[in-house]
Amino acid sequence: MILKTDFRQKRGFAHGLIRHLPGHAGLTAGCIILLFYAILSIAGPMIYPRIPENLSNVLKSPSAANWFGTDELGRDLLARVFTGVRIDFFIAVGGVGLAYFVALPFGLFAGYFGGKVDRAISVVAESMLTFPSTVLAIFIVTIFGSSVWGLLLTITVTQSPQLVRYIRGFVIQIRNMEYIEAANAVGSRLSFILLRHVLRNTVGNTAVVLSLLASEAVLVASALGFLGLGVQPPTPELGTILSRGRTYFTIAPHLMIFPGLFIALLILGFNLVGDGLRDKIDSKRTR
Amino acid sequence: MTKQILQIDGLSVSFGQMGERTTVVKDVSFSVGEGEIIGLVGESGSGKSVTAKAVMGMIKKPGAIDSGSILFRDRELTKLPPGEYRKLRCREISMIFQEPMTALNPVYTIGEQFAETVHTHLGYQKKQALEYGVQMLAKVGISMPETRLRQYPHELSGGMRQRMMIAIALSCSPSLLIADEPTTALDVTIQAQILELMKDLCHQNDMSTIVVTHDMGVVAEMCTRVMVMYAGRIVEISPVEELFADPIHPYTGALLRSIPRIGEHPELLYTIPGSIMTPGQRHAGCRFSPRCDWRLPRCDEAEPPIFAVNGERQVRCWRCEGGAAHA
Amino acid sequence: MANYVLRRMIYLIFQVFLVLSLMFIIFRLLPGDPARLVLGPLASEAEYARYRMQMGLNDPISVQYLRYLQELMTGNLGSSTSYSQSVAAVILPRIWPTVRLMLCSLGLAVFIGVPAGVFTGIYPDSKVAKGIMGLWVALLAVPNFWLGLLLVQLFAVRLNLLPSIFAGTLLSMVLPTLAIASRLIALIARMTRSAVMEVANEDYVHFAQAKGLYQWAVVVRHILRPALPPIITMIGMQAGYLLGGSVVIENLFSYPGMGQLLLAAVSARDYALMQGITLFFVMTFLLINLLVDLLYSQVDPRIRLE
Repeated sequence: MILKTDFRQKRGFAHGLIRHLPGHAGLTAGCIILLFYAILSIAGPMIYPRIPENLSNVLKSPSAANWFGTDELGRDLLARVFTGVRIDFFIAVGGVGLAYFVALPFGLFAGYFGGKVDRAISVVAESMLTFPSTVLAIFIVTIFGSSVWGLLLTITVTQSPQLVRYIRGFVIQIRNMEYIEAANAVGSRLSFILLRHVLRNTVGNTAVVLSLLASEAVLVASALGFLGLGVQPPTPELGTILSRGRTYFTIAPHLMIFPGLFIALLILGFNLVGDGLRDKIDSKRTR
Repeated sequence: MTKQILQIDGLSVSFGQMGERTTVVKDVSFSVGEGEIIGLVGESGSGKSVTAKAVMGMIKKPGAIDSGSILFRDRELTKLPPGEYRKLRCREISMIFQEPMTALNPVYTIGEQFAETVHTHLGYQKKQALEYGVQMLAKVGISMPETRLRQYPHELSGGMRQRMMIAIALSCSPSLLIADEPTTALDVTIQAQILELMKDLCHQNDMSTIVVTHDMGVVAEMCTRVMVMYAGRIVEISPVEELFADPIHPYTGALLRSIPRIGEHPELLYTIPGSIMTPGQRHAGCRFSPRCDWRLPRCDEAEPPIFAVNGERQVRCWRCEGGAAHA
Repeated sequence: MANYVLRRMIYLIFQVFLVLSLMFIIFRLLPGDPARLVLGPLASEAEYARYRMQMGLNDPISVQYLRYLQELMTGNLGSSTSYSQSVAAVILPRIWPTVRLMLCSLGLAVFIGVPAGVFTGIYPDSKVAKGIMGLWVALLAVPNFWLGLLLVQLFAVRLNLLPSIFAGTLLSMVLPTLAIASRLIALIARMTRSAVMEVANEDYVHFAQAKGLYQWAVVVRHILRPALPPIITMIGMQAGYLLGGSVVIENLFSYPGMGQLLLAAVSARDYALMQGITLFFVMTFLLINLLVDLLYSQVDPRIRLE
């Protein structure tokens, strides 16, 4: 019940955002980038259902035939990159999205009820946060396995504690502000309505945090791929393609430039959206 | 006639972007004599603080001095390079601020904040600076000066902080002190003490003072001459007793009338009808005319210049054309 | 002040205890049968069973947990299966290289980031400032391993100026440090800028100017110093990044530190070693936070007196 309402409000918020978009260059740019990646993620495998190997065409520099050049097995790098994008994008968005649903109840309860509940939840979250995310990710991926879902769950685990902390902070802010109104609202049945109000007010700030966590997720996911702990070949993933490029980078730098560029661009997209949303919210507050 | 230490002539200051500038101070002219305590009076937005800042050379972008001259001891301040201005500040012209809590840096002890000033201007080293600090603090009436110097601003009371600011401002024996609302943030009982202190120090050191305030009580207490500002313009300059006894400019009159007197029990407190024009508003005539009880048709056509009246007084009002106040 | 330090230390111990417990749980979840890993796939079932009994792996969880804590208290980190030495012996020589790398990166980031932040905070409208801020946006988006590769490509391969593999020389520290520091530079600079912009409008800055102080004194003493607390806090928050970044970068540059060791341990499924390294990371993280808190109270006297 609460989840359904939650989602509806998120969409309503997005509607309002789109109206405001033209005012902010960074936000617009970020959204365009993310849209591009979303399209690639969906369309990529449809455009390139198979990427043929061509051992006579190995490690060629960018040319008219292969815009990004070819990799060590003669495959078209552009095709590889375009299909590799979907995994990182999916892991980031899916992982952080799942983290939101996992962290939301904890953050809400911790922030709203305070006291022992808060302390218990915070203590667990804080101790998980003492592990650097990359290190934690390395461990978790060993548990969950190097599949796409394993990576996604890894991201969920690494990002949830941070999200719990942020959501808790937002809820505390709201609770202090509207608590007085809450005192007037009578009856425990209405505590559900209160939760709705609390949720609605935290959505804006949460969206900012989600973007920034997604950006971090891309970093961690591609780092794992780079270290060889991500999805296994031949499934293309930007980090793994990049690590291949590493072996050959003296003779074929293009192998390393393009995948990295696409990772950076995706991170940039999330950063721009996150910062842009934050600017929008701040300016709305000061008005 | 006493020597004029400060002479301001036709000062205009505006703020804003290129092409969209708003004049907040227009054609302000007055002078301050040696050892004189004068008041610069006006409500919020009258431009008095901006004028004070202009004298200190602390108008920041997007504000700028458009025209006019500020002569301090025959030096033209508006043309002064920043390095020279810095040397002047606190050494020759000092300023104290309205809110002593925010004017003192919370992360340094007041001793450190005192010492950096005397070190910069007088070259005092640490030991010397501290000794001098003890002297100055005693002079402004702060008890246990040695202990106080080691304390942080948030450990002192409001009155003490203001005394501290005065001590710092006067540490290099400036010839001109600008006090921007020196007592507004203080308790009433402390206000009297601070004003008394300032008067004593000014007379002791033969220091000229400009008291910027909206409080006529402060003016009555401290100043020998008063300048009244309205909407960025000077509207009346007059010796204090004459101003209170017989205000000429309609605004001054209204201002004095809106101060309730002990013993009176009016049904309604007198307020000046209408509201002050925003600096951006365009109006061909006198800025006060929409609210003025003695408005003439002329008042809406052109802004009056300053007329000399009855000897020393100056008034910016069409009714004073010819050197005498017309009823 | 001493009271505050004491309280912080107690809290630190509590945090360590919690983290150790968490690690215990995680490590029990890791796949693989320790007996099979240690003895190899060719031993007999009996040998596996004997190993498990020796190692106390058949005991109830609570007993294992207590034994685990006890071992840690006495400094016994177990023995590494891939190195055939005690874990402590394997880890020890690698601690300093990693710490050194972190310190250098942090130092570089502060050295460049803070002045950049101050400059863009005081002159926000200048073209240079806008250019610098655009650079930060780019730096924040670049993954540090990619940057490492690019730096190597540029400086080592093309220009042949700097070594691409760590060789113990000062020069070979440059690229790894740069790779880690770049993101930090952007973050510190951005934080410094916003802190400076907030402080620059305070009354005491105006008063400092009215006192006729030199411009640099106003900037450093009255703008930068009060702006330090949020910057310090942020550095503390980035401790995790510093540690995590070292893992990838050490791998890239064959830098003999803890990060590289961790990866080797993971691929060898050397759980004892992994645990030891994780302990190091976590302790370092907690220590950095403690230092940050202490530094914070030094910088802001209002906190100190509470």
